[in-house]
Amino acid sequence: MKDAELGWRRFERRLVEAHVEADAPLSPDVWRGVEAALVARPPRHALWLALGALVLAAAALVVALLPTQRAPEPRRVAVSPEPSPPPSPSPPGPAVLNAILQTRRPITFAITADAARIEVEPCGGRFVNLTALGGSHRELQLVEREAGRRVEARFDGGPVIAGGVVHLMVPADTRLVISTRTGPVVVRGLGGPMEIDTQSGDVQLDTAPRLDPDVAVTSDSGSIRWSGRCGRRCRVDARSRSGDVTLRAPSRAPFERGAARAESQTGQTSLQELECADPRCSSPPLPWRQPAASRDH
Amino acid sequence: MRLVQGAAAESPGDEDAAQVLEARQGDQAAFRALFDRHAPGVRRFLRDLGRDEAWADEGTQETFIRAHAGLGGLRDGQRLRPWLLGIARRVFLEELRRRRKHWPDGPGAAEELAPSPESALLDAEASRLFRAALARLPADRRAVLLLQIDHGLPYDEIAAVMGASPARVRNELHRGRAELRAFLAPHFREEP
Repeated sequence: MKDAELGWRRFERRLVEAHVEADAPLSPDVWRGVEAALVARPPRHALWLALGALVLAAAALVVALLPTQRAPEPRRVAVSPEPSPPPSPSPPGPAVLNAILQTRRPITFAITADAARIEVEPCGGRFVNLTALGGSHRELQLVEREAGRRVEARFDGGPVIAGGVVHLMVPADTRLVISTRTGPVVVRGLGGPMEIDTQSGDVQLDTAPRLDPDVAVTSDSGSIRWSGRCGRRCRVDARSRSGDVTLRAPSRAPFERGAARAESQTGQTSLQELECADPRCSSPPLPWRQPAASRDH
Repeated sequence: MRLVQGAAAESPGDEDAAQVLEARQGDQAAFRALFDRHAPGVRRFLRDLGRDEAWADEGTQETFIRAHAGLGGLRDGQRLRPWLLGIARRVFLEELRRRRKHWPDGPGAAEELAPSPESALLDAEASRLFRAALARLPADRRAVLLLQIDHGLPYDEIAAVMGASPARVRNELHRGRAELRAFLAPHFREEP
């Protein structure tokens, strides 16, 4: 009985040793991804909260000072006394609005813009930090819905920001839902799913170092540029009616049975360095429709 | 009998502890050294749990990104290995939940990727056979078994990684071994 047990243990050990020996060497991309995330990650989350508070204070200060900031009047020489024109009401100055919201779980963040430029970056913790610059709105709110699973930005009580620049920081795994009319959208370093729709705004996305981004971008006339890595369950679906669509992955990206799609009716489509290294890619079971005008990988 | 190394020889645990201290102070080269030493094991653990090569790379990235953020909370730098494997297991469980939510019938469902005994019999290569046998175990049992027979952790460290009692770990190991042997029995040959 004891011998049988020893025999089994030896057999087990042989299998494990063979299993360890058969282990493929670690791809250098794995460390690159860690390194990139560490560079992007702040040393302490509190620093970002402090930064957010600082921006908030600066915004409050700017808003407080705006009505009193007038250009110095040119010195008049009292040659002929003229009655000075009545003071005109000052137009509303460009506001700086900021809102921070702590989150407890992965969220969906939704924002809608008219002509505002939207820039999104990952933050190092579980919070949303939104700063709106140069717009005409006076009030910004981050509203939680669906028991905190969805967060929406509200401007003067409405869902649409008219103009200016929106700088948004969200947790890296946030699901983004962005819609604009003419405003461009720039997203860097996020790994969660993204749904972006514009009428004429250009879209620029960089999802590195994540391996399996899930991105769906549609635009009427805006151009779309995506760069990142496309792993086994990657899904990049970029469609524009008349804008150019460019998808770019680093050379020799670990692209296995992933699906990247670029489609434009009258614009140019370009798939740069997206090559499938996996022999199974020759007949990939694409999970969605394949119109004739599109190029798939 | 157990051989005890001389006191002058620096164990991997000592080396880990020193480099954890340096990494905490922002030394990226020290963190890189820790990564180089432990990432292959972490990746293998994740691959064996998730049975997915591509995701194992991403899970390893996520594990070390979290480890870097949480190094300050590691009390004993010598226990880095079980601590990393614990993070890796949480990363795997999150991925499993995500897959079940988004692709309830897709890869990640427990039996989906488990090869049939017939296909395993056809593939007698040892590593594949081992993986095929592991794939038949439930995720927790598989993790416990891997932590012991592949990563060499003692019961108390496995219990810490799994968030379970040592008694439960022993129980899971016993059952895991029994299931593993039942599957491997046709291939078992006594060494001369």
